[in-house]
Amino acid sequence: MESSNSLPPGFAELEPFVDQWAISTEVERNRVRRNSSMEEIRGLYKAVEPRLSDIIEYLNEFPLDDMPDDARQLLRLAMSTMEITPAVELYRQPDVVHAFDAERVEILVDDPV
Amino acid sequence: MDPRPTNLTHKYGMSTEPMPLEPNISANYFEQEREKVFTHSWMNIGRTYDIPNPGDYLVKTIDVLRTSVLIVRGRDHKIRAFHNMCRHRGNKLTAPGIEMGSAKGFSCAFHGWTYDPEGNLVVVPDEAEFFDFDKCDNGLAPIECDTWEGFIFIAKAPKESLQSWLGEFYDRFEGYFDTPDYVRVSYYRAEVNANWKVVLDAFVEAYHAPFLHGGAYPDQLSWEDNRFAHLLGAEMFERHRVLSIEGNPDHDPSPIEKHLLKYSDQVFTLLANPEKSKGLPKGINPTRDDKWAFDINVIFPNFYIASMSVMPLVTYHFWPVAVDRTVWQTEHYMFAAKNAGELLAQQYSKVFARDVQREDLITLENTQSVLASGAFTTMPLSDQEVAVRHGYKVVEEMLR
Repeated sequence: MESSNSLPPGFAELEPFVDQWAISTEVERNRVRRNSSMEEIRGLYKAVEPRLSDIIEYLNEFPLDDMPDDARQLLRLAMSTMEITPAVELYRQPDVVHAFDAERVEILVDDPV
Repeated sequence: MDPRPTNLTHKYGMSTEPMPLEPNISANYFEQEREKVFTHSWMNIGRTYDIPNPGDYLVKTIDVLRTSVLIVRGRDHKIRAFHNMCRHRGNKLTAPGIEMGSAKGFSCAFHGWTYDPEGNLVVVPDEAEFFDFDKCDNGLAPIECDTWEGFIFIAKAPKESLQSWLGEFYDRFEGYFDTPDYVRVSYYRAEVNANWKVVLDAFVEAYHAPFLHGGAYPDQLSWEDNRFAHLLGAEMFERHRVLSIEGNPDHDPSPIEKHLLKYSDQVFTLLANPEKSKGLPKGINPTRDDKWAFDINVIFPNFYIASMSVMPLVTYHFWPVAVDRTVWQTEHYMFAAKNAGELLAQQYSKVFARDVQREDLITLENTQSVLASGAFTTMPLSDQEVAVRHGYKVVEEMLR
């Protein structure tokens, strides 16, 4: 896979999550969350959550608009973790338990990262 | 002693009788609302900061006024509003789906009639073929437009100035919202098959929080000191209204929240933040209480500004389309993220809010679909639902 060394040094254990979860927009992150299993979602959460402070401290060294490619991939993984956090910490299923159809809610501000 | 207000319905001189369902299901009532409420109301259509430069424009479909509105900043920097309709044969001047942009002028795609950013007609191809025609008399049709606190308001046939319309709100925020530093970080929108008041009502009481949002807010809005999310404050004005909502100061942060809180103070789920509840204009946290989480400022009829301890500005709009159709929109504004930690906290906050709002939306069509069943013709409202009751009272008085 071309993504075998896509993350910065020190974050190699997150490499298996890159293909599924290194996503640049909220629309796509939400779609992947709703179409993933809880096993996949918990896998990302369990890998990223203990390292989130390390990730932020690493990424905070770079300007948001001028980040090396490997740091940007790490940011995308962290952004997907923000998307799936409610599924793990609150709803215990991929999507909100009792909610209006997600496909009917337009996401109109969605700057790609 | 419990400082939370009681007896609000009596305090504001309202009947405690159950409220009729008719206003939410009657097509005739909706037509009266169109003519007597919305035609004369000032309504927010965006932020002045959305169109900072001459030629910048916004386009907003306003179904209840049966029009599309074009809002343009002129070369003199003045913001003007027009019906988005060519004087010639009525074509819209902007292409379908366009909601904002920047232009030197507006050229109709049908026959090339062109207007400048101040709404004057400047080009009519083959003009000599028209009869007794003067371009000066054929500019765009203006709509009243004014600004307040960085918000642009329009009105089709106002009976009073924007300042007078805003009334109690006019000087309450002391410029708090009028800043380019609040960046729109989210904009969610959905068309919902429910009456606009059914949609609005779902967002003007906290009684539903422990039930509808019991999973999303395990301890922030209702906890042992405030099991039923009683209001921290409420003020019912002539048309507008304010609610203040309390948050649990002892919220137990989740593992992700603990990480984010080290790098950002804009984490949406930490609702009560005593450090951010002080030194604010009189209209922000009007109760001056440390447990303040947010205020809901309903600007009649269809606009609502929430100011939060964790987020400076959240707006909601409820755009009537038909008696049983409404476009709901919400936008979150935060300070621009300076680094990845702040960006992640923003994203966490956006996602959390979006998920909770989808919980709010789920009841609406379920409700509307049976309101006309005849099983019940009224709804009993609690004192905690005083703002719901007040909304019906204000509309009813305007229809009389």
